[in-house]
Amino acid sequence: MNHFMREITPPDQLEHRVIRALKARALLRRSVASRLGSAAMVAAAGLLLFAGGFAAGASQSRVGMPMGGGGPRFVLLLHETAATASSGVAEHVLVDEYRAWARTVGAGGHAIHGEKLKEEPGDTLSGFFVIEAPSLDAARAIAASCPHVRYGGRIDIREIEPT
Amino acid sequence: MSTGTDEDDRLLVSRFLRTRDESSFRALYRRHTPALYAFSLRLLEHRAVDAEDAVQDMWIRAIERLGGFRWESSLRTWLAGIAVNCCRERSRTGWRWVQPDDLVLDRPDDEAPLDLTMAVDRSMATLPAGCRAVFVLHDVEGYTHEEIGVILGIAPGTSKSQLFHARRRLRALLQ
Repeated sequence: MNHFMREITPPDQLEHRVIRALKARALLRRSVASRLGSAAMVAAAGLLLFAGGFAAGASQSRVGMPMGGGGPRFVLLLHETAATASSGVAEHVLVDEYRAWARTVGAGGHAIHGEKLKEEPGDTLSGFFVIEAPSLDAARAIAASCPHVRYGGRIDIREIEPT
Repeated sequence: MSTGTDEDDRLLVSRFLRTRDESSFRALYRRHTPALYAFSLRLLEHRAVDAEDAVQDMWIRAIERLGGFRWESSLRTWLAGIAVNCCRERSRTGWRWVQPDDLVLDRPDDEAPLDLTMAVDRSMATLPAGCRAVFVLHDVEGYTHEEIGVILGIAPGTSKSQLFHARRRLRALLQ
């Protein structure tokens, strides 16, 4: 007869530890409640990223051009996180980086357009890009190169329904 | 080994992969961790700190690979396989198997299950780590030799011989 305990309750702190470790590796998103809790930090940092810099590259590349190339289009939804809020990088540096990235993407033949969004209390969404890309994988690769990812932000990708 | 609720696992995994959110992960964690923590404790001679580290590493590796999990085994069996590797890396005595030459079928009752007691739980720490893993997986966790073969990367026959040796050693210790 088996008298062993086949289950042993682990210490409560282990669950917290594991979740922290997964988040540190970007394997886990923060919960909605947790994201709402960081709204103050979001307002402080994320929405500035697009300000004043994004449409400026239109004359140099496909940045800012109207969409309409006929290929699949995707929207990259940029969410702020505690990491982006606390990056400590100067605003003008961030703006320059995002602008340079958008130019690079445009120069690569992917029409791109972006806007910052007005702050909504409790919402982490700070802006978006619309890009043309041949496939979802290509769109993912473009999103992965965005400075937003490097600063710990989250990007959700959705394909736009052709009309 | 079937937990009897594989369908629930599929739903939980599907939900997690769709959302990647904390609450979906917590559901998976709370469902499987108590058994895998107990298992890790036994493999690591009841060293709680090492077992907790092993469980943490197991979840990190599992979540990294979860999208590629093909359900060729149950989720619990797959997780146990990862846990074994995480424990193996923390084994202080090295991961040793009992050699075939050691196995002499001199007592017919060595093939019978042991009457498992807490004394056995303590004594199993003296078994070579690989041999102990087979014993824990079979006699404590209830995995079949085929499943143990998948988890440990050994032939089912090896699992049987290691189990035989583990039982014999434990009986000798308890007499």
